[in-house]
Amino acid sequence: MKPLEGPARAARSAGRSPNARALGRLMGRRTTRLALLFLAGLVLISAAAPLLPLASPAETHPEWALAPPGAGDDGAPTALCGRDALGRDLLSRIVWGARISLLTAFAASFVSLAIGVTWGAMAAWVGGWVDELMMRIVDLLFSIPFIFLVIFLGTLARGWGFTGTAANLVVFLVTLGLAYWLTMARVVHGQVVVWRGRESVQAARALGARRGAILVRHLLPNLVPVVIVTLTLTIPRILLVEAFLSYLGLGVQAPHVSWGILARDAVEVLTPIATPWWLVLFPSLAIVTTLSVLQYLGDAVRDAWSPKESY
Amino acid sequence: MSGKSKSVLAGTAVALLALAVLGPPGRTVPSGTVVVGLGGDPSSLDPGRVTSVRDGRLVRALFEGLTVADEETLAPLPGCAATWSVSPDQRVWSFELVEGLRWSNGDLLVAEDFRRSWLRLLDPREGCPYAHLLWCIEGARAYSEGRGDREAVGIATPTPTRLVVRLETPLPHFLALTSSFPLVPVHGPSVEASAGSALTAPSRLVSNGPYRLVERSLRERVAVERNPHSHRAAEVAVPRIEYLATESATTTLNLFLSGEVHWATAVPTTILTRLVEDPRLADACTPRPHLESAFYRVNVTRPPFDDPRVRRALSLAIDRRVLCQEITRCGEQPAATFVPWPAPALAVLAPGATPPFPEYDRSVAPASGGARHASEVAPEDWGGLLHDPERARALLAEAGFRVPGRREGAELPGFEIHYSASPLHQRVAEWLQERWREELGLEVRLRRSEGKSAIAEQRRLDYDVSRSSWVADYLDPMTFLEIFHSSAGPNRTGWADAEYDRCIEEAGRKPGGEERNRLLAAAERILLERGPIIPLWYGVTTTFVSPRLEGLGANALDQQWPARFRWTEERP
Amino acid sequence: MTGIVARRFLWLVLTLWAVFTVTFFLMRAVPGGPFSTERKLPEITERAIAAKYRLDDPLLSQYRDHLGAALRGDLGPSFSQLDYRVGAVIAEGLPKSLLLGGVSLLLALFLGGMAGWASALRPRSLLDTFVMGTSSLGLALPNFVIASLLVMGVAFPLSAIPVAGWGGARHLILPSLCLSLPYAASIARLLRTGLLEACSEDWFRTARAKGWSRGEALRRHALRPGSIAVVSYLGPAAAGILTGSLVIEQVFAIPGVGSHFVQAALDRDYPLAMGVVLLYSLLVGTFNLVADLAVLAIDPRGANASGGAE
Repeated sequence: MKPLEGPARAARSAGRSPNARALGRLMGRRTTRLALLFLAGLVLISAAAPLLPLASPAETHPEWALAPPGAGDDGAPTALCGRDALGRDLLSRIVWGARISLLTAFAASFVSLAIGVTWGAMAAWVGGWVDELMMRIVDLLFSIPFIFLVIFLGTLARGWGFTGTAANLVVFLVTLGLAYWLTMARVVHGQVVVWRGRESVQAARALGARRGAILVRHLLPNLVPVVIVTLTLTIPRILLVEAFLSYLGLGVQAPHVSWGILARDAVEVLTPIATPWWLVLFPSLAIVTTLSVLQYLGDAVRDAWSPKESY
Repeated sequence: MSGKSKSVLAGTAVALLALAVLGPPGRTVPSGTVVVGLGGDPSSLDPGRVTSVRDGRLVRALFEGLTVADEETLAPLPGCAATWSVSPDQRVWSFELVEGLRWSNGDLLVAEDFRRSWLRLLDPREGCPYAHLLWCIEGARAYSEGRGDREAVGIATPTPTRLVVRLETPLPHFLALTSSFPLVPVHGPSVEASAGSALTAPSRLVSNGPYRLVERSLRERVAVERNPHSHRAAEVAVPRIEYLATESATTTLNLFLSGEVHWATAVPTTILTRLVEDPRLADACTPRPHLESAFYRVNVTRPPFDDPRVRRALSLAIDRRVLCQEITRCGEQPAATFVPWPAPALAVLAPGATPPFPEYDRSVAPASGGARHASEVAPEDWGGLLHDPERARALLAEAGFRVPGRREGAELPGFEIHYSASPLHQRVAEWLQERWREELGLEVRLRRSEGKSAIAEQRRLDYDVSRSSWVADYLDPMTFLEIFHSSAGPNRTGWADAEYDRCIEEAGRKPGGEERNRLLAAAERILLERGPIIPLWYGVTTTFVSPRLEGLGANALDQQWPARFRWTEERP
Repeated sequence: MTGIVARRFLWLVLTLWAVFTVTFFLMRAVPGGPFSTERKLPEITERAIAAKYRLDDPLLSQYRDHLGAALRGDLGPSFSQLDYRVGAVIAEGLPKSLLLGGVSLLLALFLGGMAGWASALRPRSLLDTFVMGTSSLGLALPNFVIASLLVMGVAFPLSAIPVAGWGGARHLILPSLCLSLPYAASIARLLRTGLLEACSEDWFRTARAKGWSRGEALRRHALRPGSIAVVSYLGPAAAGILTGSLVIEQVFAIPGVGSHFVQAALDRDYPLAMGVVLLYSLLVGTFNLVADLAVLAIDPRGANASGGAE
């Protein structure tokens, strides 16, 4: 281990690491802090949903069906965002929907992270024809329309008997994750190839350091930025795909609520006779705000880690 | 370069315009056309393969059987058969076809066409889903199960216009059966030529009904026009009917409201109450009784459901009036029997209407014990007949289980409600879960399943209690009661009761009359007292019909006869 | 050039083969036959059905036969549309989907091109801010939300624009608008960035010094390099529009391939679903190939660019 100490100490003594500097740049912007605050609030609220003083998202009250936002008449409790066609409290459904939507987005992103990083790093590290083959497979998968495959796999999973609500959710997360690891694999692969060629790594190898040790000490810290940047791009994409699939009735299944399901419920009752605008407005607002914030954060993170002016 | 970029933009704009203008050919619906919102595509137009009510609507426009059902009373009226007679022992039916019947391509239609079509329905290699409808014919069941000979089936054609059918045993509703949609004739040459798969292309579908196919476009529409070769061509008033395959009930409703659909066969149930109150729809929508019984199956092979007291307790714990008023909400009525729409229940929904089986006077098994005849129950009491949570708890205690308010007894194991995916079934399952928890202190879980696997799981007895419903195949209480015979395919509960089987078998041998009704009523009573079911409600059909469209009739099987449709251009 | 085309084409064929193989074996691994009915079928009937769908053959020989049939364009019978074979279902839906997709792509190019150009003409102006703001909204709004807003705001008040359905050109207006907006937004941003980058080059400043107006200089010198990104985006955009039509066809009840696919997934019509997956893999692969070749034609240096699919 000793030979490693030289370069490592040198990096530390040069002041803050590049990661820390990038983080500083990121947090320096007020809009970024606001966006992070919003996201943290959203995560907190959805995590604490069972503790909040909300009506149950599944409790139906046919007698108050399609009540508009505001204090209810004939004894109905106040519903700030109005009620849906079954008299369920929309605010509560949006909060509980955030739980599933965010859970899906984060969990599926981490599935994709795990597969992508492992695949990309392994291919680059082993090198040779294995590398060529593994990355060719990624190229090949890139030209498959994944939505279709996710739907197809979900359909097959139902055929295999994964029909319980929990099982369904797991299948859904895994198929989404399986579909979205490709970018991660490519990015990580590129990074590892570059770093494998670096002098410090070559030196460490020459001096007989174990591969595992090199991976942990040298590569991982350098992978963190690209992984974060890729994640900030993947999460909003998966959020959107989740909404999309739930909307089609092929994603999350009732009694779970997600934002896509709320959008579908809204469209299903939209007729000239009853135009409950709140059913369209509030869930859309939730989706659009969250997606915009995530996309903004993605851009900000990318800028912070690869500032154009600093070469 | 400058010119180039301009030309690129201009080119895009021109291409857009051209595509928009030339793109899909604009359609105009010919005047007098009736447009029906079908709620989806028919799964097939081959009478041998169709199964659903939706398919049936199209088959009745395209084909005509020996008899046709009256749109109000469902009584069999002459169709392809002009006259018929039955032997004194009620076993040999002979039908005389109308002179000079023709197919839509001009070919002559003869009795042999019926014989061949019915044998095709029975052919074991075809696997037609409705083959069992003809099992009443001599030798038919054996042939259809691969044990008998095609030639041994009791259908004969002594003359080109005479069809003679020999039944295994007398069957009171056989004549009504000949009006059901799987028993229409199929054009031989085109069926054989296409090997079944291209049968339904407009150019090739040869039919004999009041209409013929002129357009079929998946997920879009099926259009039919008056068949000039039909013997009824003169009485068909509507020249063209278009069936839209729009899946979404809301979209169909929007089309109905904008006047583009005249009869919407499916309605958005979640906002139905709101819709019915709206003046624009008030006169377009009336729920009608449907011969459908909604119930839950109980798997009697799994303890504790092997104990009839436990099954009965589950049934007595629920108030079906609340279920129908707050959950289903489309006019369904609480069920206290399995065979639907006894007079008291019908009187609540449609006062003055004739019940579907007027001479079948069943006895009910109310919670308070003792048998009563259905006709003795006042309409307002009907809904609460099977609601008695006290008695339910007493029954559970008697069976040795602990119930709320008692300390002794074993804890009743938790169980699962198995239901197929649909918002309505989901709500019902959640409601039942809550009721059983509250009234009986039971721990109940939900298990959701997709339509096709739900049936497969029921068949494997892979459930505790499972959502079910049964729609009449023909107009006789037997169509409901026969499914719980121990050997019947749709039983799917593991329940076998020797006395029940005996009643059903004996009733099956009777040509009709009071004795037969008594046997059926006895069977239904057994089913309700110790059977494997929890009856829930009697179904209704809710559709939107334009006041300008007449002749749809109102009957308990939701069957219409398109030849009778009338369209008035002016609002009445 | 020919080498590149040939190599990419080979990859496309390989992809299709892989998709076919994987979906085939996954499909066969699902328990139960294609049909479950209310009544139990006699054994002889079950055997007849098994024989018809070749369910009893050894798996590998089934695979060989199906692959052969697929190569001849026959993807077997549909499980949900009993009168149709998969090929016939797709043949009915594809022209409609392609028409909708084509109109949407052109509309996206048109709207996006106009907006991007206008933004680049006056960067940081009010118009630019407005266009860029609208486009980020367009990117964040799921298209079914746009769809329901348009239905509520446009189709209900204006009786000339239908709520749903398929028929004349007026049935295309709302769906193609919904489908094109997110891609118009992307195109506007790409074009703006590309043009502005080109503006910072020396020759652009030279052109301005010669007294050309900004618009003229942009048109003469910046358009070609500035639109490379847009051209290479067209492949993924076309693929994305096809994917997006899954929802749009459902919302507006358009009988295209997308709605067939969704229904097939709901009905568990595996052969039809598999057919659509294969078809769309082929389409997406072809779009990417064509887009790459177009980029190659504009800018021969970027030979390795390759698009991805959603």
